[in-house]
Amino acid sequence: MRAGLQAFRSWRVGTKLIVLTVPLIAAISLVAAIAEHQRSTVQLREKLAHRAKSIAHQIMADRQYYASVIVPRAKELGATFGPDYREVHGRFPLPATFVREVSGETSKLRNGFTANLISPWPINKDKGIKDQFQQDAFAYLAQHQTEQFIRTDTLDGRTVLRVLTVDLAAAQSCVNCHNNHPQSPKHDFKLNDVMGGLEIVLPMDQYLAESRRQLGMTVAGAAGMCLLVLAIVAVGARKTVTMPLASLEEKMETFVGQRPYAPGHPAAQRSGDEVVHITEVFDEMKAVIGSQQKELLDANQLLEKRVVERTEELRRTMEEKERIGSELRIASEIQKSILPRTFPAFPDRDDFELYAESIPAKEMGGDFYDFFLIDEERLGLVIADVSGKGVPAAIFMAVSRTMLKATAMQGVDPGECLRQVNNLLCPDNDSAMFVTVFYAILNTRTGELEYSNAGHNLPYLLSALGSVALLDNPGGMALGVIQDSPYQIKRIRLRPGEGLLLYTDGVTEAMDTQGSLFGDARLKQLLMRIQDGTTIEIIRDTVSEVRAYAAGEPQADDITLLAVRYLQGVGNQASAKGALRLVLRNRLSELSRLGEAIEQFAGRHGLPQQAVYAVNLALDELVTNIISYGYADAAEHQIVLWLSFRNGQLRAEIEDDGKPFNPLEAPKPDLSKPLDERPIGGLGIHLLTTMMDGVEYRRQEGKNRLILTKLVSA
Amino acid sequence: MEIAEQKKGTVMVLALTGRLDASTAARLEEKLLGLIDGGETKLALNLLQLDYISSAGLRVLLMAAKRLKAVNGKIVLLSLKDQIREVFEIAGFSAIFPIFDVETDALKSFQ
Repeated sequence: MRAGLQAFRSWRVGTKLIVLTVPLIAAISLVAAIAEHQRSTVQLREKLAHRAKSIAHQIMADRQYYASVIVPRAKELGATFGPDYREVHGRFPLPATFVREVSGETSKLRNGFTANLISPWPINKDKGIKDQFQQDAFAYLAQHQTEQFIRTDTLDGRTVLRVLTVDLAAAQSCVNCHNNHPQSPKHDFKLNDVMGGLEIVLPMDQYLAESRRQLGMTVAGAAGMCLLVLAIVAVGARKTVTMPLASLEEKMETFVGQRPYAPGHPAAQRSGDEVVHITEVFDEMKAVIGSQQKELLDANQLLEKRVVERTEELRRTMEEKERIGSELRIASEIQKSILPRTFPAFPDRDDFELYAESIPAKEMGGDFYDFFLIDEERLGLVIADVSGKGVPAAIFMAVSRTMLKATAMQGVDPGECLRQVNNLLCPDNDSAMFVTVFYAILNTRTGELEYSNAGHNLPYLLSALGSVALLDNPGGMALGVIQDSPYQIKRIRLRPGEGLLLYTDGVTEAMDTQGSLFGDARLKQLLMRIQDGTTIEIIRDTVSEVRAYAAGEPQADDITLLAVRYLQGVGNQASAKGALRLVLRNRLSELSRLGEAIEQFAGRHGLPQQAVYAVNLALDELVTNIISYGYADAAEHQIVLWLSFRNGQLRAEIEDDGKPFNPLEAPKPDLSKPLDERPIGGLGIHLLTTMMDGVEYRRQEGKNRLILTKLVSA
Repeated sequence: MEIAEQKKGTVMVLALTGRLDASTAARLEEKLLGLIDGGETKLALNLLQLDYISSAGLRVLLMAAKRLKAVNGKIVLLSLKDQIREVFEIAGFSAIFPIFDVETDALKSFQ
């Protein structure tokens, strides 16, 4: 009886082992099968690539023979060559046509292959680059002429292997024919240049299907083996374990007086039930393993497919994004560059000074400013905002700006100018775009300002008495809306020292993080505080204030400002003439340009040598620091400097897009240390802060903005 | 910036002309270190024609002074313009470098 129990226990252990071992064997077979499948897929690809190369080689050899032997012979006999050889008597196919005809590329892909001669510079437009593969292939082969470009691809829903080999200009006759051909887009081929390529397409799918079928058979075989092993074990168990168990049960039953074990006790299960149960488990396992194998296989295939698809998708998206991004950047750059951006704009005029800036929102917008001398004493001032955003707005802007300036330069008054431009813009305005414009003419001799408005925000008058007020509105509809709209004019007279701030709603409608607007009241308050500064100062401070208000919220609209100050009869000290804007690249060689610009500026203002030196040194130290330590990359960056002088104060502002750096937080060097203990370096910022009377730092929009001021006694 | 050199007795006198800033400092550095490596231990810099110096220039002078001190040598400066002298003051260099108005005094300091 004891021996029977022992056998029973060890049988239970054996069952567990079998249950654990079988999936293990199954899994190993499965992994091996999949590895084999992948290996054979790779092999297949290599085999097909080799086949494709051979085909390409053969075709090229045929053509070489045709071009170098048959063509010259035929020519001797007076034959002509052309794609229309079927129609024209005595005409032979061109070498390329010959290849096309021989390889029968026009036929659809069947189980054989297709060959196709293509070129980035095709004589026959149908033979140009048509898809991504060809584009990538030529890009790669341009650098690797002796190699083949190979890729698995899907064409007409079939998996195919595509192989592209370059076609070099092998004979002078090829070069001549292509260069002289009227339909050829390229006329400067030279011997051995890449002229095109031969693409061989081989179907892969039937081989892949075969490989998959083999995989399936391997898996099925492994599963069958597992089952067989299990069956043998089960039958063995019946003889060695279940039979003794039955006799054990009998004896036990006798011993306990026919009383069976309580249900649930292991010994209560009868031998027949065990086998049935084991068979059931086997069946179940067979089903589970089978379905898992299938799932694994499917998942693997799906995954492979997904990876290929996603990679391709991602690559395309990135390329497209990059392309659009760079096009937009270029467009935005062009758009910005058509606005006058050199300051001082009129370095030899001391009867007025002006500064303007337009900071485009992320998307291209349609704001613009403009200023121009109509004659010696009439200065035209324009600020405008085109409805909408993006490329259409930018184009409309360019058109309106040109029309406005052309009309204004004829010397008509502002109302008449706006009337004419409106009538030019209205008729062909299918896209229903419009532009709000404020246009004024300042007489720089008398200070008289004549202006008209087409639906734009009214400018602020910065009066000499320290008050700030909006100009009166002459009324008027935005341009491009209603044909023959009238535009009234108004006039005021500026006193010497008075100025104007023209702006667009990007300033007043800048939003903070809560979505509330910067607003007119805030702008007016700000202007009351800063209106005495130079025009550069007024605009730079306004921009900075708007940015501080937005606190990092993305700029929704262009911010455009133009400030002008009438200076007839104002003394030199208060004139702020010739305020400077200088753009430096992040190269140390730019330091000499900086020095020259400062010298020139100082010369215009008659600044004392000592002050010039101080400003030069401070800016030199700062710019050197930015160039040497500010950038983590090797790319070109811009460092922008604004320099102005008014009422005995010299003001320099420097903006750079380098790493955040606040010179005010730089550690002070210990100047009392002896030579041995003095560190080399760390003096520049000390010189800067000591030399200047005021240093103010702000980090805004990913840029460092440093404002330096120096009081200069004349 | 231009550098002219002239040996006066045992002293090497360099006359600097123009601007000594971050874009020109490397040239002076090369020159000075070359002289020191070549065995010169007595250097005098004539700054009469030097219009401008920034911290990049100061750095080179400091480095030369340290190198010379290690070999018991010396570097002196002479004929500084007012603005240059002010930079030396602000940087605390007047305490480190012997500064002379005229060359004879500078040369005498080496005896």
